Amino acid sequence: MVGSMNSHEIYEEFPDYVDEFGLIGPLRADDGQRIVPPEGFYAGPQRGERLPDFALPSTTGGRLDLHADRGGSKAAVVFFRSAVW
Amino acid sequence: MSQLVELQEALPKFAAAGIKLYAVSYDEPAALAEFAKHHGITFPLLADRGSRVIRRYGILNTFVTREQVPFYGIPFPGTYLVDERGGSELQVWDGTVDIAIPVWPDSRLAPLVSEPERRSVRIDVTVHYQACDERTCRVPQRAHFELDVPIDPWDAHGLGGLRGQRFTTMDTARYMKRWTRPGT
Repeated sequence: MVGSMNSHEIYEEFPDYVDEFGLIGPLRADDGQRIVPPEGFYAGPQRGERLPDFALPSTTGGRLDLHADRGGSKAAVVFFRSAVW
Repeated sequence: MSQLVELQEALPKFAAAGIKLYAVSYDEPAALAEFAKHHGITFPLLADRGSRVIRRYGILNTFVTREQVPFYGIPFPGTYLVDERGGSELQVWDGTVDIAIPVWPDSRLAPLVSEPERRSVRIDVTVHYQACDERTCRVPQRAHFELDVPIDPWDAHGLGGLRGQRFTTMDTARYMKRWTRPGT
């Protein structure tokens, strides 16, 4: 049904699914997964802090210890929502 | 998760910049393994079951309630850049930038200026940078160039150097002074 509607009709029919930027998503705009965190929210370890150690099961085999594995190299650590959905 | 596929495509550029790439989610190891195999992801996908690391980092999405299975446990998505020392070093500038880096002569420099007529030293400079706007970032870049740095005579005394200490930067500075101001 939604697929046959143009965006204008979707806006009218499902106003709760349109966020503040006008983007339409499959979840209500006030759903926790779509919320934009408030300004100044805690974004984890701060600039200049050492990233806390962790070791987790890796797709490259075994448990991977972040600071041991990077071995003094620079690194980028990406936190993403899910590879499943 | 197209972000991971795009990161995989950009992996050679991360490698060229000397940056190892890791990605963390709350998924089961088997789910990540299937995703990695299907999409050819070669960098480590790390399974943070129970969102323990996500919680420890303080980035659990607290707007998702416990009742919202299976979505409870996701982080506020984001990326940390880690320098060689392990700090999340990321300096951000906007517009045109003048970067001033203090340079101190050490003993390796002294032979280069032993000829009195020499008044500059060429040094290699490598700048790692990444351009971003509010929404996205380009892949990291590296620029390399050489600078001719002029050597000015200066007074190394009064800077904390200890007399009698050899092979310190302070001693080197005194040699530099002697060589760059012959006769003093």
